[in-house]
Amino acid sequence: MLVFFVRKCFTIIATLFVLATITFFLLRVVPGGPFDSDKALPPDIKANVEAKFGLNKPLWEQYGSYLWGISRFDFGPSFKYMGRNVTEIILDTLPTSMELGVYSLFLAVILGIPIGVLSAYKQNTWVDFSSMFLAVAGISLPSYFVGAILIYFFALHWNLLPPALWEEWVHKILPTITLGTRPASLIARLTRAALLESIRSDYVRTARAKGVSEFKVVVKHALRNSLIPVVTLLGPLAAFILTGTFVIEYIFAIPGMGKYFIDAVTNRDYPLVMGVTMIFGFMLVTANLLVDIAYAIIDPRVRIR
Amino acid sequence: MFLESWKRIKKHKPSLVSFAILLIFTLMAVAAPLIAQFSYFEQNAEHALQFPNQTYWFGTDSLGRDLFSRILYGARISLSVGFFTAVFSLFIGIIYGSIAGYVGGRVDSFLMRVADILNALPSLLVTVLLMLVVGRGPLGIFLALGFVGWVGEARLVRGQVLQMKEMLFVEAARSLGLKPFRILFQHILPNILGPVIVSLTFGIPQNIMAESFLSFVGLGLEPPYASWGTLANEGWRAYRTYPYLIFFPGIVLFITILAFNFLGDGLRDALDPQSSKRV
Repeated sequence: MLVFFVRKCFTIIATLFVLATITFFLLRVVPGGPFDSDKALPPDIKANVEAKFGLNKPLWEQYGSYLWGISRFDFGPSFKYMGRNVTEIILDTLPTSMELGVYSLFLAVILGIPIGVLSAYKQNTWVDFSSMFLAVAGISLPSYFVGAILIYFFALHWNLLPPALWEEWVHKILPTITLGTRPASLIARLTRAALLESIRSDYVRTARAKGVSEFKVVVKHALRNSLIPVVTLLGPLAAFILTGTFVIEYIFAIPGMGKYFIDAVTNRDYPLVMGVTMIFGFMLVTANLLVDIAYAIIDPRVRIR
Repeated sequence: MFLESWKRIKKHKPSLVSFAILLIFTLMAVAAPLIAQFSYFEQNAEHALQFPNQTYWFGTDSLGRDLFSRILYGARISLSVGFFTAVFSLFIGIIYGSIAGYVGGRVDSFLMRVADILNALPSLLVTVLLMLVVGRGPLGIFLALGFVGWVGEARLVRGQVLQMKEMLFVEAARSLGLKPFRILFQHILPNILGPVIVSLTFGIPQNIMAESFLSFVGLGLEPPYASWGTLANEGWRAYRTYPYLIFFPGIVLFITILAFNFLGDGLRDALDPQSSKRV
């Protein structure tokens, strides 16, 4: 277990290093610097500004100090939001994005697993067919389309919920549903497939033969093993939800990290782009690590590998 | 093998219907100049923002352009970005994955470690960054999506090649003294075609979706190119009063992705029966 853990941590550090390097050099070869946008600055001022942000130093030195900064969670000052640190901006916006992501993931799990169980249990009935059709539809729906329809009816037509922003709980319903639709459908499909397999296995037959109640057979015996593939899905799902947030934040005007990322790219605010990318990457690899650990806890068979 | 698969897929009605829909959409996109009564850039200020009617089936946008024609031409971009990106990713994935799987040993573990690292990157963000460098046209988005898309394919191909390598017919080929290259291309790859085709079918809608997300938030294609995502982006700005502007691009995209997913499910059952666990 310890070796496994150490090896995973090593992969995480390597991944983040590669990500940092890619981001740094990609943004340096992009044509057009951050300070030659609308009106050209006089050369002296421009030189001063570039000196302030360290843009006049040799590339490798910038790269070095950038890496050193990252290791201390310091991404430097933002180019566009004068006087603000990237770290500050991220600390301001990250909780919002996390909140949205956690709500959606929660919704996806409490919707997806029961639907999957139900349709596996009622395999080849109309319950199964209609819920699986809905699940494929849920996977195929572009989230901005879901968002647009929800806003149109619930906010504009029926006036039940606010169309945008992120303040009280009423603001959080529509974004959560919009982001949760696709993960819920994926979880439902996977739960169904996994449960169908374990429901036919020997240990379930044994449990039935012992006279265990039907509910207990499904929930305690069959479902526990079917959850393993679902848990492995949570890694890619975390990735989907993380990047999904930036479409949702755009639609609902939520002041989260994704919205800042979009603005930062258009503004060529390099430090902010790099900071957000690094945080996204960090959360992604951490999510994958947690999934690996959860995997080892749920299924003792994978522990020794 | 393919005859049997065809028999199986013929019974799967949803995938036949989906295939028909996709075929019709593709033909319409190819024949767009013949079908569209208006060109996608033709502006007509007097007819701006008309709700769907007999002349303009899907209505017109704020510049008086016919939405139906724009969706028709948008299909060309959306479908070809999806298709070519998926094919490109698959091509790289096959080369990378079969080298890793066939050579094995240290080469394999090195290549797979690299793939693991690339796989853990936030792909949509990396796509955005790459597009800043290679440009925001169809070619740029194709390269950027392809660069992050091949890793999954490589892992799939590697797994399959590893399995096939142990088969008797491969051992027979090797004992006859065939060159590794020939064994790989003549004996192994044809046998893993099933899973590969299935993953291609799922890869296309993923790329169409990714492109439309990027274009929707304004980080994807730039004018004059119009994909379904950029149309949705334009529609988004005025949709409170003119909901049809986002409804039609959205529904067309939805039907396309839905059809690809049903087709993929059907193909998987027919070509790759063991993998029903993968979703």
